[in-house]
Amino acid sequence: MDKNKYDVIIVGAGMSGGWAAKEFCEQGVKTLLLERGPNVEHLKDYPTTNMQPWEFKHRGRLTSKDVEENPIASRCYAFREDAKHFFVKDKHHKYGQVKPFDWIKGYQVGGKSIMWARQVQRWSKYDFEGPARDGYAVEWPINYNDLHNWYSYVEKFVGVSGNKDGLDVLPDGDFLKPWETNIVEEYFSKSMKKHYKDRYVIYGRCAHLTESKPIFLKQGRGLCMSRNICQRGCPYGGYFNVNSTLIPWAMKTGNLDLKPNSVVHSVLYDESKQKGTGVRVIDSKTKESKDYFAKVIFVTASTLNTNLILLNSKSKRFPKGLGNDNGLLGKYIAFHNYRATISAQYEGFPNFTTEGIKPTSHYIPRFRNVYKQETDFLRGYAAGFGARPLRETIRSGYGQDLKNQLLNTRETGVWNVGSHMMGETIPKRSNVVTLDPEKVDQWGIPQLNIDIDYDENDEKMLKDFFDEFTEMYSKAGFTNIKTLDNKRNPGNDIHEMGGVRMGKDPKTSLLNRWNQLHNCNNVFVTDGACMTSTSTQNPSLTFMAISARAANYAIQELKKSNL
Amino acid sequence: MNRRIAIKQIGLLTGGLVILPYACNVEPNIIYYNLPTIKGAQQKTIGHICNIILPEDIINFPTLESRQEFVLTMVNDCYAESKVEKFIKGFDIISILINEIKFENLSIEEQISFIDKQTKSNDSSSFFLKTLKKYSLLHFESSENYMVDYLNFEFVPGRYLGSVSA
Repeated sequence: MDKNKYDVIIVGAGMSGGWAAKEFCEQGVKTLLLERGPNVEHLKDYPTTNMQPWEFKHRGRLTSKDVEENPIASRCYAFREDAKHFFVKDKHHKYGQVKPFDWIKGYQVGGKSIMWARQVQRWSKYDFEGPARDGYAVEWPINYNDLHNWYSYVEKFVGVSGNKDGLDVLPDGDFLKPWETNIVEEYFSKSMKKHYKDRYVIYGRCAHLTESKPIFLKQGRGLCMSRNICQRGCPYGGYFNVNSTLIPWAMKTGNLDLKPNSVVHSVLYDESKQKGTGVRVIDSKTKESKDYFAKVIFVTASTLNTNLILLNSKSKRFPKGLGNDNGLLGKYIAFHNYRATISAQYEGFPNFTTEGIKPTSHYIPRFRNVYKQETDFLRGYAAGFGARPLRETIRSGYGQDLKNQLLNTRETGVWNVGSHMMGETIPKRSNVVTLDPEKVDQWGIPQLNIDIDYDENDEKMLKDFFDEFTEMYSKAGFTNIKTLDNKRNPGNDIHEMGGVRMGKDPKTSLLNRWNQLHNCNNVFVTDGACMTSTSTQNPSLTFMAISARAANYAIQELKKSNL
Repeated sequence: MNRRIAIKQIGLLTGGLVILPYACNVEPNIIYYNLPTIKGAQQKTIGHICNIILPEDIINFPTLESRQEFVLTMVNDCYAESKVEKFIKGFDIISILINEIKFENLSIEEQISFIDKQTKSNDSSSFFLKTLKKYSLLHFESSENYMVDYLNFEFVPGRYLGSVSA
């Protein structure tokens, strides 16, 4: 085989690209996996994973230089002393903000799967049916039934702990045993059942190994040790990331060629063949350009970079970007509204506490507008719920008195409780990304300009969250209830989706039901860019299921010589 | 005691013993690039005030770095320029005052009383002293023995139990 020619090229070694690579390589397809950032090898490249809190020079805090140089990245909750090396620094890849937007990036093999929050919930049929029912965006070309088996397929491989709750609004998966609930979480769950017929507090579903299975042993992964410092990379492989699981798995097949430090400039298009023929790559270190060729191209560079690459893939046939006949590429981008939080206290279990740590919280699935439209805003929100014993440490005074007070630190018997909103935002034509006509980045690629904002629907939903959760907390007997609009910028949720949406009609969407560009069917998009709407669930599980499904379809089509 | 901390402290102790006869007036020679006016003697003064605010206990609560080193590192690295300026201004005020009252000759109670009174003042010395207290607390509360023995910290818990009798 020519050294620049492959069966498949995958752009981006994050969660979506990693899954596509695994599927292709396992089934004998020669695969080139391109990653713009450096390699991160499992175990070898987790420099802080075994550092104790007292070993950090700044005890986990950021330096003023970190904050000054990275006003955007440093607003991410995980950009701290122990994991900041996995985030792209602001100056490294600049972008334009028509309105404030925090683009949080992780350029390395494994992408953001190293630092992700690991919460994985399936979508339900109500989520896929949302746009058609409520008349926004376009109708999804797939439904829950199309993904059901792929969700299972992914869950069994990555390992998902959870409880079978039997809720149609949040379908059960193939779960490992859940993390233990604590007494206040259990109490709140019972309170919700007592006061509401359609509101549930369930175990969080997270990508952590709580049971050993042959497949995980084969991957070389051990049980989660509940350290809850996953953002550093886990020496046990206790949570799923691409580096511990998908890359080694694909490598073992001998069919994977992984090329880090490869920034994809554009997808190459051949008018005579009416196909994508390859990609143009800029070496991130030498800045040299090189072309690679394949029969099939998967663009999984993360939502906004996938938009950027396709917009930059201009040809005589596609002057506005690859597949962009309808002019919708880069439009209808949405995200999750994480602005609202609520906290309170509960004094009902003074004689109980917890031991150890769990890497998840409880979860309250969406209950607004599930079966019919019932509020003055569209769609709804899910929420987390957590409870932990309140510790009191008195820090007044000086000298030995102060020290004695510190040594008398104690749990008070009071529990702190809290929830955060995960709201669906509506994809709008006005929420767009475009290429800057003049500014280019350090690799000579046009800079992306981002024009995305909240709208009235988001504000109404926020108010409803505060009202409903204040009521739910009050009914449970929680006190000292406080609500907070943290005013975070769009993007800070790190759940941006869309711009290359799936749909039934080439006039109103970019991708078909198999994630192929309508007008260039050997180019697939299976990361967040393909999402027609966002629902409320953490999206990574759906990206992985869609990627696995599309890769297997592509393999079948390759075998039939249809691509 | 953590092996690494123990080795470091033995090193410091033996190093000190070797140097002591020849260099009784040796001052720490750490340069904090954002605190150019705070040199050896000034650093020592800051270390002393930190120790009055919250006594360092290297036997029971050993740390990888001294209190003085930690506090100055945090100010140097983590404070923005405006806060560094305020910190230095506060230190200048305190320096004048402690010279006037011959701070080092006061009893510990009198030194604490001075710190308490000055923390309530309206000038930058209040900010300076609050900073020393904030980072002294962080240094102590993030020490291995305090976290393990008093906060029940476990690096690898390997479990989560949700309903344990307190």
